[in-house]
Amino acid sequence: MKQPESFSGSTRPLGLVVIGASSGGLEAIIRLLKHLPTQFDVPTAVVLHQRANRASGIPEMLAKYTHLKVQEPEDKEIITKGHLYVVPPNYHLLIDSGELLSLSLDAPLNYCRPAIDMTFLSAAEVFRQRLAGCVLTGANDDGARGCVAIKRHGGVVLVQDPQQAAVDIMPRAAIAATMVDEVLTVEVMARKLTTLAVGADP
Amino acid sequence: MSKPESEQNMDEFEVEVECLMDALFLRWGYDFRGYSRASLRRRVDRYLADNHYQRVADLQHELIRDKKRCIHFVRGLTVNVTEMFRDPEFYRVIREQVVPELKSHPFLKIWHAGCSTGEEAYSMSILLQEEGLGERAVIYATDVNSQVLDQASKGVYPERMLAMARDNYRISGGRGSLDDYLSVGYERFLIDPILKKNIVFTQHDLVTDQVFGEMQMVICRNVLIYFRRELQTKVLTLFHDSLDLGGFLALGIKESLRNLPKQFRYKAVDEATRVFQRVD
Repeated sequence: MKQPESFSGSTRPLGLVVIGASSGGLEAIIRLLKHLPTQFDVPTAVVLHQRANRASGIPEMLAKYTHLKVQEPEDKEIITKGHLYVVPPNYHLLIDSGELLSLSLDAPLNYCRPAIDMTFLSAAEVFRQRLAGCVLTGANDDGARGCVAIKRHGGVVLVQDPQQAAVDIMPRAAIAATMVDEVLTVEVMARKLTTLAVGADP
Repeated sequence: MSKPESEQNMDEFEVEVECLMDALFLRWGYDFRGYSRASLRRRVDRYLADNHYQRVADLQHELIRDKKRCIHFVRGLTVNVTEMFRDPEFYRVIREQVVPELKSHPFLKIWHAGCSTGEEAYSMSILLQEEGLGERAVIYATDVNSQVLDQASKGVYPERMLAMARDNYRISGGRGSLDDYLSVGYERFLIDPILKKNIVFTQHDLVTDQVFGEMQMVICRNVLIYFRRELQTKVLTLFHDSLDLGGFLALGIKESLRNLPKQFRYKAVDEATRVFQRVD
């Protein structure tokens, strides 16, 4: 039986990219964004651990380095092409059925709010094989459980090369938790996302 | 018969969670069917792990038969965290832009829906005192969870929350010192009982209960985020019907009126802190 295109192995255009980062993450995210070509328009959600409770200034900062429209999402916003969603400080970001963005003030997970696992787990359930999760530099293991879920649902996991990461704990935790698809520099990760965006195999 | 696409795409766990919510409604009348799927899943997932259940089916079997266990579970689903003067800019907007209009009313009724453990209701009570409205205002502070309401009416909080509360109070434009409204001891702080005089804590379920009449202000912050869009529409309608013409509606910083029925009209008093005024 002929499978619908989006479900066959060779072509599955991405529906969402989720990026998790902690210590040293802002710089790594900026480098990643700089290397995304202007035709890249897959909706992308950034979960960056921050200490600040209030307005972070991070969306404004990231906007300088990307053609994507950068914003902190509102609750129940529809995930839209060409947007980069930055999780607001002190909220968890969940991906809800119907491809909506949902915010939550549930207790911290892995001592973190936002927690990367919250976003990765919920995104895996909704986007499944149309999801790419990226784990960048960080000093704890948030994101590792999420990577397991992404792989279980057929998505792609890309991890920053621990030797290139400012802090290698988070990438190493992801690599230890599951069979990640690739371990690479953020520059190569950007190229890989660009290929995945149009439906080529990882 | 073909199902809507979203249902065809449900995975096993999602189906189990949906069935569990149907079961709770059928058996005990608790209605979580309109809650956001993503957050329900996370909360059920956490409850299973914390209470050592292997499968949703095991939990469901028990919840159908054991009312006490069910109450325990439901409390876990409905606990929301808060803090004194949460989002201090919001309180500043109330102080500077809403209070001047409220002053024209001889008597004020404020509904704080989803007040949780009460910190924000006490914050509003402090603000109203400082603005000279303490004598004529009543705050109806409601929550679906009776356990958090018990905590709210005690007004006792961990002392470790106090540093943030003081910071928030100062940023919110507080006119005095927060410590004037509380006493500290035994690693806790106790809200001055005088602030309780104009707060009525009472149980109310936004999903199943009725309008709370003729309010000058409805405050419901960070509750709608747990609801699906259809339920948000229903609850926003409930708020609309509870508000006086010209009354104020305050939502959480990341919540919006996007699911408000089109015929209802509000103007933004302050877009950033999500304070609106009913204009029709």
